[in-house]
Amino acid sequence: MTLFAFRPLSLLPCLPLLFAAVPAWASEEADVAKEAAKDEAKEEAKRPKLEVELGGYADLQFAYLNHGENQNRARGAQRDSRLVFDTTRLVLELEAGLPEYGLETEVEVEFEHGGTGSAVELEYEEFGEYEQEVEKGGEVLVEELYLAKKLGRHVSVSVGRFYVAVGTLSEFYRPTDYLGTVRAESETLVIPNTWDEMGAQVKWQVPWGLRLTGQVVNGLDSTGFSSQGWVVGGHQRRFEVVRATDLALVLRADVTRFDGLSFGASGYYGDTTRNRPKPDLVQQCEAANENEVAPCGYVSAPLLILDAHLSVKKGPWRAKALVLWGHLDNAEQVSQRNARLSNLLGVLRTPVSDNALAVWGEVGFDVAPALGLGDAHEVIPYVRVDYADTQFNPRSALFDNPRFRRTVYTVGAAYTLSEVAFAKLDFSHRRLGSATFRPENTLRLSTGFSY
Amino acid sequence: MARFSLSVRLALAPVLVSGALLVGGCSNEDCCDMPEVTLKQDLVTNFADRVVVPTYRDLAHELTALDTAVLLLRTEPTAARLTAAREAWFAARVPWEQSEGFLFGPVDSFGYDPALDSWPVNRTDLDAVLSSSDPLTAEYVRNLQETQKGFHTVEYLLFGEGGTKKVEDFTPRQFEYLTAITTELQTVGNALLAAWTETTDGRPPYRDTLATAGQSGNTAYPSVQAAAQEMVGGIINILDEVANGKIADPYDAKDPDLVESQFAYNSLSDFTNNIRSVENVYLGRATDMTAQGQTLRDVVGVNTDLDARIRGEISQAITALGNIPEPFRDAIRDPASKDEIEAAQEAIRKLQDTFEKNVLPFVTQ
Repeated sequence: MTLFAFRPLSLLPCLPLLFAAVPAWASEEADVAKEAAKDEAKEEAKRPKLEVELGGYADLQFAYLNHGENQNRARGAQRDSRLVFDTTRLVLELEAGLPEYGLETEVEVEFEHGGTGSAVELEYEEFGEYEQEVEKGGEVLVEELYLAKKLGRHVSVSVGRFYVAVGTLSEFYRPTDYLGTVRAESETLVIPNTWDEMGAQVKWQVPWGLRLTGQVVNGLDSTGFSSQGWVVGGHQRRFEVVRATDLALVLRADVTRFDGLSFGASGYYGDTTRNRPKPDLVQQCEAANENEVAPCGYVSAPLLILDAHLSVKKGPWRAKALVLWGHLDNAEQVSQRNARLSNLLGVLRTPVSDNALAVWGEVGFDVAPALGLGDAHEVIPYVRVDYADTQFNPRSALFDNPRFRRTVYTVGAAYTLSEVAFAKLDFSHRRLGSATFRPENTLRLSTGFSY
Repeated sequence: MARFSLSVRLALAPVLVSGALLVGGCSNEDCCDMPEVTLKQDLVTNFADRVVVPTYRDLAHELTALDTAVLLLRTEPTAARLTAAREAWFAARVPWEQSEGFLFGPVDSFGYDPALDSWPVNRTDLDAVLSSSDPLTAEYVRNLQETQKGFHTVEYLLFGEGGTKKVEDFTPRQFEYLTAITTELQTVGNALLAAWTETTDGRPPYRDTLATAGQSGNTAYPSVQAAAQEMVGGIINILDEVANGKIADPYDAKDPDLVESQFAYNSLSDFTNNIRSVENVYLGRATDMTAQGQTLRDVVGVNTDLDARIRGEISQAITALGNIPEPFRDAIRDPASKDEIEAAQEAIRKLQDTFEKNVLPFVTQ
């Protein structure tokens, strides 16, 4: 580009300024405009200065799979040779604060698979019928939106939508937080992926090096529970309003005293029946009062989830680990009722197990110094093992299907530049719970940024 | 069939829920010279009472007979009783396949379709249950995956590969499993009939919901036209499914596992009964019934060119299916059968095209 070339057209944007230089026709109008500008400046001066921080992350995936999509075939997925590309997610984060008042807000919007789009079109190819066109498959989600108030130096209280403090993904959800190309398959099979809910939260950073988190959030909706995904489908996303008649309590304790090492445990407990879209799981009784929705109450189906987790980022070492177990009371009654749900609700309607188990761990070692690379680079070969069973130790009336047990072995390497840009390559070998099923292999490349 | 009903139904949803359409810009010559036809209430009443309910009543009856035949076989395993159980299975397939021209309402909404008719049979999971010592209680069977029960699992257990199974090949555990799932089938068949004829879970009989289309307070079918669109939509769905799903999937993949009713060699009979289902809806009567009041054929115009064309194309589709060499599971891999299979697909697609372009406008004008 020639910097000083004269282009008359480039003056076009300046035309308004040239007109502005012409004296005003009426001096009165000019005075009014001046006053308005002054008032505006005063108003501006009254508004407190916000501390605003923009961030976000993106993840693109390119995968080669040696198996077909249908895992429900008799011997598991058939042999195939497929490439799958995915604009997995783009997340935009906005943090704003009024430090003098100890107020903060965080907003996180996620575009999954490139967003979404649909339209109704009038189709004259046939006879002029209306057709619902899906223009773009994907989702746009507000994953976080909360206000937080600091109470002193160590305590903060939040209200809004935030991550449920269970598992590892509530804290380590950015692609630069974990080593694998994808989030741990076992964890996302059993509980919702980066599980967000609405409610209130208290965080207390105990000076000794202990972080305590307490949350009261809306519970899950048991219509979405299934064989394959245990309680994942109970995450309320289908309706505009979240039902919170059944609340859940979450407690989490993390030891953060040791530099580069944190570990802890969390527990989740909440009922799931009264968050169903319809009151269709109620106790039957003789003298029912017709003025009451559920005169004898609801069938209780509380969900308990316990986990222990670990994270290491010390020197060249990186590691994560999780053991998560969950139990659903009255799973048989939930399953029986779900089997009769309408198709239009868009849930699987398969029986849900009483228990589920997810265990995973990954470990890596930074070899960038050994390769003569500077501090800005990290090259971390790693291994990961996932184990998940969404029908762990079920009741006698539920066939313990090995199809719902899986172990995934992953080996790969992650490259990170200045903790912002990353590229990862790994190979996964998945085995279902019986030798009858064909193993599944995936080679996956992911790249993106985190800022 | 279970596997495509939702996606196909969703694809057609706009047609089924749209209001009156402007056909002024239609590119099809036939549609713009269409006579104005008044859709009468008895179009849907007749359809509900003389097509749907009799077909489901027949299905419930045949599923009860199948359960009885299988129980008798278990009590006294003889070649004659095995033959009788197989005959009962064939008999139950007829009303089921003849009901697939109207896979809407309870059969779809409450998952009766996949509960009755999912395939391929999940033989791995089936074998795992057979080799386990789990007691096969009603609760346990209800919790099994849909591909471990229903018509095709019964078929696999009764017939074996290509109908080669002998009565002495049955194990006590197989009998136990077989009777458990035929009992479950009978329960589903009765529930499906009840959903149309009785108040269930506080919901009125679906027969009433359909028959009172257009009457005040009917939110499911705010007009007779809306119900008529559902009827024609059901026809289009099943024609699409037979040509582009039931035949195309196994034929394109050359995969016998994807063939419906492959163990009993009943696939072509199933497909033919699907076309009969279309014919029943069009003529406004189930097999062995007579039509009363307005039918879709009346709407099109009895003995008009279009009516003759539709009936001719139904007949051609059935003939084309009959030309495919049995068994269909082998024909899909035989190059010599290529022309017959593709001709049948073509004939069914042609009929589907006629319903889409020439019949649908009658109920959406």
